[in-house]
Amino acid sequence: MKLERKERVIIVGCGRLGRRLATMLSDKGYQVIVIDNDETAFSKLPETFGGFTIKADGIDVDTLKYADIDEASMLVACTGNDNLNSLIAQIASRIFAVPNVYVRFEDTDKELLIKGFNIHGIYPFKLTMGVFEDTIFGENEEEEDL
Amino acid sequence: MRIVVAGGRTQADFLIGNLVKKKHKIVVINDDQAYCDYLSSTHKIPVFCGDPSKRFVLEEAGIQDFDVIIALTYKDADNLAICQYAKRCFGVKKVICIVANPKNADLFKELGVNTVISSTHMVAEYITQATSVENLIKSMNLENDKVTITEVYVESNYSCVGQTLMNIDLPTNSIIGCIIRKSSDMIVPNGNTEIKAGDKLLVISSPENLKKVIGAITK
Repeated sequence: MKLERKERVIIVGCGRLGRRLATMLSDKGYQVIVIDNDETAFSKLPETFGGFTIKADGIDVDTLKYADIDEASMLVACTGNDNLNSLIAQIASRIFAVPNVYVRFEDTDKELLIKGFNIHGIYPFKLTMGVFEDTIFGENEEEEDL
Repeated sequence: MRIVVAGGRTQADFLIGNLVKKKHKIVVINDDQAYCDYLSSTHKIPVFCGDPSKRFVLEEAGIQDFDVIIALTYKDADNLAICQYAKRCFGVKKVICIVANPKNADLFKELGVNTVISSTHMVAEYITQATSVENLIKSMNLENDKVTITEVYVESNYSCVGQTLMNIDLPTNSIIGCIIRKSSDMIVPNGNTEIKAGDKLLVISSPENLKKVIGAITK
């Protein structure tokens, strides 16, 4: 990661991952904006959180514009909905050319939707399988493609 | 043509009925088992039950190289995923979807969907037109409001009655494309065609010029 401090980071989805990521980046001095459709999700952010929160009913291109997406250097799409994450990540990367875009997918097949774009996919399933493979076969075994 | 209809309820039912009548080969994917049963028994076509925004569901439905997919689910993000899978993984030639949020219409086109239909947008446009233009005039916008086709009924007191087309002073970017006359089916006019009272004119123009065009015909 080549993010400079004080750069703008947008996190869409204030679940466990979004919340922890927001807190971590805010503690490190980044300007963090968290977006969620449920206001109560923000109440779980720690009191030390120094970033901004935006409550948006339907998250769309205007929500992201309101968060000044054209000035963001990073966006993380981690709502609980794969298709919404894919849409948000594509808006960020393909429309607003945000340099670092991360998207979380439960369904590994969704990789095909972002293939070829400047978007990094995060797959909890693959990470979990990786742990099992490492534990069972050890780190020296050849890695199998999932 | 081979067409996939993914998701949707009443719209899907109506659309499938129309497409079957026109002898297209239809495959339906819907996530509601009861509605799948209804669609397959009503239309006698193959129906696959499952979430059409999942790749394996599209694969099971065998949509490889189909001509068209129409995504009708109520979630815009799902429709985008369906269209992108169809295009990128299954070589479907033309991908069409509806959107609930009109702001997504242009956006989805930019992201690769060939045709995006926003019913909210269309209804809003229609209401605006109905309230702003004289009530006898029907009008329809195409290509995201770049072109408008307007139907004008010629009353006997209009100055254009008895005139040939070349003598009517229409603004730029407008043309009378077709005349519907009771005595004949339809006329594609040329400069020498004369307008008669009772004609219905189909005018093609830019939306900005619509008022001027109507002014030129009805004055």
